[in-house]
Amino acid sequence: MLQNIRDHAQGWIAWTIIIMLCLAFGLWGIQSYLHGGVSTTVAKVNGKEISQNQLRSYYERLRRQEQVQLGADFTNKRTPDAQLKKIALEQLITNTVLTQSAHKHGYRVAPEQIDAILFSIPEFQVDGKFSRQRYQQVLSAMSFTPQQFMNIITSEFLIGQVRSGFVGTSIVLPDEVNETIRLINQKRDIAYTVVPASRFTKTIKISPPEIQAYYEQHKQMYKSPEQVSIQYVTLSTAELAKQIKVTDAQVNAYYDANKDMFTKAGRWHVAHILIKIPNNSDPQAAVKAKAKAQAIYEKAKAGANFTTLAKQDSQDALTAQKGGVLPWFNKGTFDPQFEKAAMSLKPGQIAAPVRTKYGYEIIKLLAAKPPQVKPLAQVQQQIRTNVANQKAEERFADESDQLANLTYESPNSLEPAAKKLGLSIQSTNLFGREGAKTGIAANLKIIEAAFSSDVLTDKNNSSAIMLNPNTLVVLRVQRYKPAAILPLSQVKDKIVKHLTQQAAQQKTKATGQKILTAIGDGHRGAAAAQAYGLTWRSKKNQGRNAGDMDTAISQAAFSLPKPTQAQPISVKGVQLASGDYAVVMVSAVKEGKLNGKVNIKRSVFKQALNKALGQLAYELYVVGAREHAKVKVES
Amino acid sequence: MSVYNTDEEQVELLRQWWRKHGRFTIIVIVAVIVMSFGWRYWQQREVAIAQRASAVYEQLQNSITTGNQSALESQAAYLISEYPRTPYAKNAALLLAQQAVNDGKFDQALAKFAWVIEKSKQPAIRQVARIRSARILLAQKKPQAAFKILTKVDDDAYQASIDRVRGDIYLSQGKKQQAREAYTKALALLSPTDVTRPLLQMKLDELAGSSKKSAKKKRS
Repeated sequence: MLQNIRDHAQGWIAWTIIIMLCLAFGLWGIQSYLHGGVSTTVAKVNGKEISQNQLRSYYERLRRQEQVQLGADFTNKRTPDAQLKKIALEQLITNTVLTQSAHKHGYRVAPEQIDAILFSIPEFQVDGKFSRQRYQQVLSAMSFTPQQFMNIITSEFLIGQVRSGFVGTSIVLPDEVNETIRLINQKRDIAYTVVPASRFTKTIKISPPEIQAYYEQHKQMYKSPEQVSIQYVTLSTAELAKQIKVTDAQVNAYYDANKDMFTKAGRWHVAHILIKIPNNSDPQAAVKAKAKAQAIYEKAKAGANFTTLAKQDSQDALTAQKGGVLPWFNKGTFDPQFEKAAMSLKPGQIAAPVRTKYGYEIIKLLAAKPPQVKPLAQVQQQIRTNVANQKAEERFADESDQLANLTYESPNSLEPAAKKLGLSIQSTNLFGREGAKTGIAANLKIIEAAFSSDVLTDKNNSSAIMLNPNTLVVLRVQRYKPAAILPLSQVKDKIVKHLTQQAAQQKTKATGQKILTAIGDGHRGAAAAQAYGLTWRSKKNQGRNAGDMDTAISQAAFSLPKPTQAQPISVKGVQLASGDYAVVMVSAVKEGKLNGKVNIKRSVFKQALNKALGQLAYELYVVGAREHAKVKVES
Repeated sequence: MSVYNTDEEQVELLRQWWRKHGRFTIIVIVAVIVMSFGWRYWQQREVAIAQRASAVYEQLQNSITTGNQSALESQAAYLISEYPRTPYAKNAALLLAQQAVNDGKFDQALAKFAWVIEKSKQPAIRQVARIRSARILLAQKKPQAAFKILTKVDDDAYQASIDRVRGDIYLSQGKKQQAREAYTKALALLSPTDVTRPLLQMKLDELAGSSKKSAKKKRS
C-alpha cells in the first residue's frame, strides 16, 4: 500500500493529504506564539490556568501594598516570602473562582462600561482627561499588558456586582435589633478576687536537674536562626558614568547636534489687520480683498496710525477694537505664512499683506524676544553628564550581558567577572531570612536570592538581580551559619522563668479552687477570700466592655449562668494570662436597654447588624464557590 | 482497500458518489451552518441582554449610593419586568424585599423572596432568600413555616446561618436544648474571624446557663 501511495504521490489525493498535514502541523504551535510563549502553570481552576507570571505580578502587587501600609515597620513586620506567596496564590485562585462563578450565573459587562471605568481613574488622567499615553506608562510600570489589566478590571467589576447582591440587600428585623441590644448592652453585678502568682514565685525553687530535664525535652524550641553573609558585585550606570571621560570634542559635537535643547524659544508680539475673503471660490473676491489690504498697507507705511486703521478696517472681530493686538506667541501658534512674515520684521516695521487661510493680513511687529542660544560654557557641565550617562547606558547594556555570562560560566566565584569588568567585590555581615536593617541585605530581592536553594545549598552565583533598571547585582554566599540549638547556659534564665510560672500557676489554681469550694458551701465571697488574705472586689452594673478589669475576668463573668431564685449566685474560676487565678461571681443580670437618643442609637445597632449579616452572606457564598471549584495546585 | 489507477477513474467514482448522496450532503451542511449561526446569534443576544441589564443595575447601585429612593424603586422594578431571567433582576428583587422589610411590609418581602427562590439560578442567592424568609416568618410568629422553608438546602456553605436561625426558631418555641445544639453547630462552622460570632456566642452563653440549671434540677 505504501508503494501505491508513493507511486501516486503525484495524484491529487496525495496533495490534499499533504496540504492538510502541513496546515495541521503549521497551526499546531501557533497558539503559543500568539500568546507570548511558554509560561509554567502554578494552578488550574476549573481548567483555567494560572501562570507563574500572573502569580509573580500579583505577589509583587501585594508586597507593594504591604510596603505602603507598613511604611517604616516594613522590614520588621513584613510577611515572610513563602507565606505571602501562599496568600497571593490563594487570592488569585479565589478571584478566578469568583469571576468564573459570576460568568456562569449570567453576570456580564459591556466593553463601554469598562472603558467608562478606565476613563474615570485619576491615575490615567492628564489635566483631568484620560490620556492613552499615561495609561500605557502606568500599566507598564505595574508590568501589566492592557489585556491583563482589562481582565482584572472586568473581574473586579463582575465580582463587585455579585457581592452587592448579598451585602447590599441584607435585612434586619426589629426583634433581632432588640435581641442584639439586650445582649450587647447587658450589665451584670460582679464580684471577684484574684490569687496572685507573685505570692508563690519567690518561694518556688527550680533545681538544676529539673532545668536540665526541661532543656533536654524542649531543645527544639531554643534555636538561633540560620544566617548568611554574602559577597556581591554591583553594576550600575551611575558607577559607570563616573569612570567615563568625556572629551571636549564630544562636548562640542553634542552641543552642535542638540542646539534646540539649549535654545530658549523666541516669542513675538504683533498687531494685525485682517481683510477676509468672503467666498473662496470667487477669484474676484480675492482680488478685491488683496487690493483693499494693499491700500491699507500703503496708508500704514505712509505713517497712518496702525491702531486706528485696525479699528476701522480689520475684520478680525476679536482684536479690531484692541487695535489688532494679538497676545505674545511662540513659533507654531499661527499660520506659517503669517509667522514667517512677522519674524522677518524688526520691531515697529510693517509687513506687506500676506495670504493666510482667513484672508489677507497686514502685520506690524510690536516687540520680539528672539530665540536665545545658551553659550557652551554655561551648559558644558550638563552636556558632560548627559554624554557620560548616555555612554554609561550603552556600556551597561553590554556589560550586564557580560556580567550575567561570566558569573554563570564560572559559578564558583565572582572573581573572573569582577576582574574582567573592573568591579569590586563587596560583602555583608551575617543576616537572617528577615534581612538586615539597612544596606543591600535589606533588599527583598537580595534576601530571596541569598536564601534560594541554588545559591545557599548548591553554592552557586546568583543570577543577575535587577535592583532597579540601572543597577544589577550578582551575589554568592560567603558564610552560612545554620540554625543551631542554643546551649543551656544561654537559655537557662528563660527556662527557670517558665518553670517557675508553671509551678506558681498550679498553686494559684489550688488556692482558687479552695475559695470556690468555700463559696459553694455557703460562705460569703468576702469571707472566703479573706481566709486567704485576699480582697473581695465587687462591681455593680459591669458592662461587656471590660474597662480597667482584666478581660478574662469580665469574659468569665458574662459566660456565667444567670442567677435564679433557686440559685441566687453563680461562680467560677479562671486562670489569667499573667499566671494569676481569679474567682468570679455574678449576683445579678440586667438586660440591655437604650437610654438618651434611643432612635439614633437603635439605628446604629441596626446598621451594624445589617452590615455584619450581609458580609457573612457574601463570605459564605465565597466559601461555597471555592469548595465547588476544581482547583489543582501544581507543586 | 481498492486502489485507483488513474485520476480519471477517481473523478468518475466521486461523481457517482455525488449523484447518490449530493443532495443529502448539501442539506446537512446547510443545516449545520444555519444551526451554528442560530446558536451564535442566540448567544450574542443573551450577552447583549445581560449587558444592558448590567448597565441598569449599575444605575440602580448609583441610586442606592445617592439615596434616590424613587429612582431606586423604579429601576429595580424595571430590571424585574424587562430582564427577569438575568441575575440582576433577582438582586433587584432582594433589594425591594429589603425596602419592604424596612417599611414593615413583611408579606411583600416574603413574596419577593419566594420569586427569587423559584427563579434564581444561583444556589447561594436562593439559600440567602430562604434564610431571610425564615427570619421574617419567625418575626411573624410562624415558627413552623420558618422551619419548613429551611428544610431544603440549596447551598450547604450556609449551614452555619441555617443553624443559627434554627436555633432562634427552637428558642421561640421554648426548646432550649435543641436551640443550644443548633447554636453550637453554627459556632463550630463559622469562621473564627466572623463579626457575627460574638453575638452568637452570647446567645449560646445565655442558654448554657439555663441548661445547666435544668440539668442540676434533674439531678436533685
